[in-house]
Amino acid sequence: MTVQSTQPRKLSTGIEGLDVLLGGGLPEKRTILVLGGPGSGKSILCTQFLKEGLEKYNEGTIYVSLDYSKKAFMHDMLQFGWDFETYEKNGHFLFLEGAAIRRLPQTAASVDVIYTPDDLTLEDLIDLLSLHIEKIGAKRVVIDDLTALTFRFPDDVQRRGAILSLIEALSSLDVTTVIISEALGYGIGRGINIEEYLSDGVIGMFLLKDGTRAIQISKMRGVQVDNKPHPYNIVDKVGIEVYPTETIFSEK
Amino acid sequence: MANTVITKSMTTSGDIGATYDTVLKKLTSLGYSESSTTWPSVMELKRGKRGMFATSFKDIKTTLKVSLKQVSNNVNIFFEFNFAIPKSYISEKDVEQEFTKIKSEITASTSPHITQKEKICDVCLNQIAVGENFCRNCGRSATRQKTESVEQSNEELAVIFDPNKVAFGQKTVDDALYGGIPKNGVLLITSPACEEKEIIITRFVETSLDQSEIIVYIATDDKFGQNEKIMQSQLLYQVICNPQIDLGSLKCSAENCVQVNGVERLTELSVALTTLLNNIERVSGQENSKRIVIDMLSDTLLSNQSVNTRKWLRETITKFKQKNFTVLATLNPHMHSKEEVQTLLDLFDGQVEIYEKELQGEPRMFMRVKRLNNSRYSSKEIQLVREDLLIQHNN
Repeated sequence: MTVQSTQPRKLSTGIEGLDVLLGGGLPEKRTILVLGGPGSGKSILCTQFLKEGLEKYNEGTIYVSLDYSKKAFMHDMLQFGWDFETYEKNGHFLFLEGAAIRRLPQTAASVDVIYTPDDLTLEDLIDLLSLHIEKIGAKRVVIDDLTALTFRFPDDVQRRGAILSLIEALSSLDVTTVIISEALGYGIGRGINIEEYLSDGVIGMFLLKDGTRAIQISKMRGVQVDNKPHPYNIVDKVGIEVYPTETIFSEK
Repeated sequence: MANTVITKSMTTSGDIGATYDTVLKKLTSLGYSESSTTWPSVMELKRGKRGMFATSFKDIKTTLKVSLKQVSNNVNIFFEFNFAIPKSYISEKDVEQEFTKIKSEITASTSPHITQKEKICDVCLNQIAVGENFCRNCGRSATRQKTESVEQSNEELAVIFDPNKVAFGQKTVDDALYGGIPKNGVLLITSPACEEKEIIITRFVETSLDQSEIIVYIATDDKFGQNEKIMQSQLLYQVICNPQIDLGSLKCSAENCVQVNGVERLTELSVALTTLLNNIERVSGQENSKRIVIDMLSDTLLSNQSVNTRKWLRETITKFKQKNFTVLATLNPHMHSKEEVQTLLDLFDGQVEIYEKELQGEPRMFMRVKRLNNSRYSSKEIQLVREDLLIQHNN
């Protein structure tokens, strides 16, 4: 289904089929959650979103990673033909390696400030982002992933408060942010994460029983979207490919 | 000593039975004598006794094989002259004169349109209604004129199509369907596993290729693996729903062959078909008539629930019809419950049933058109004889 929209300015995700489902792209200056299980392609989707900004619109972009090393990221994305080292050298892309910050207190590779694992709070992250967004004029930000940031809040009330603070802070930074999070199952009966209620939009990426990959936009505030599940694939040299006219025939 | 083979062809209007009789009569009058015949489609005749020392053209030892094929209201006639002397000893002028004579005599003797004349069935001698070229008593189309008339129609062979029908190229089936599947229509053949069905499907594919029409064939095996003519055609696009088949060993080009992981993953299959359709559209445009054979419906129904199969089939049919495809699907009803079969039937415009029953104590295969919406068809039971199908096939 093609969705016609007269809503806020949209940022193309760089994935043609996903843009069709979104009615043009992600709404600008909003915080969107991308959910999925391991190997579902969440990081690839988000990186494609950054690449689109870099290549088509010459926008500054930032990837904050809390689990994914910079070396692995650069290597993995090169498999799709995306050379982020060059973008970084050109000053349009910044990789903030939270993994290094959390695990190796004395060697924060990509950042100016050194943190210990316990030191890295949401406030610190927001400060750090604020600094670098201004520095490179970033318009698109990816945070990979939220679970690593909020694991220290076992209490739901505290966790909700922390996430809400993060989303509010990101909104004030005038950037479009995509936050990756882990999904709790698939289908109507799946568990809902707190962050799904708090974010402006939710895109789920799921692997079904028979190996079929399905993508579903379950929420996008103020924007009309196609919220049915549709198949997608991770294609070599292309990235994520979404088929907006196709139906899911598999059992959930 | 090397023989010389020269082929000629022509088309005349009329029905095959009457034309056959006329051709035989005229060739006999030209000195040919009957050697072997398979009425009404093939005849072999002989003339002359000498080779190099022949005293005249008629004296050259000649074998003439004539094949006839009914295409709609016309009959295509193929002549194969086999002269028992080398080519350099044959006068092309003589051959041309001979053929012109045969052609003009046949044309002068065959009637224009059998629909305009009173006819009888060659098989049961039943009277055929004016306007029909099909016996409603026995289901055969072998009819002949009660009275001969003289009229026109003389043209070099050009395969003639009913513009609104997609022919199987198999006389028995095409006659029953009055020319074939209505263009852009959707037909289901329900049949147990049998060679007769396989011959009909193969002929449908071959006819598509003969008529330069693109055809998509979806199956769980490489049915045409040994048929080089089919496999090497750039007009055939195969979708093989079987991960065990080694595509590298097939003779088809990589661009024309798609492999998916079985019929269990309908979403994957659907995506592959969409991609294939887009590729075909880039190559051929959307306007040209095309065909698709869905020859894995029973596997699909076995592997998926009938709800999912119906949903997938409906979307697939719609997808292909929108791109100007005529759809043919097959289903083995013995593999499923009646209810399961019923969930799919209304997705089709028509249904041809192939079934086995006893005739004189022997099991025989029959076919019957059960329905064909908004189109003429014969609902008579017709016996399918493997040998007859193969003869029609080879012609």
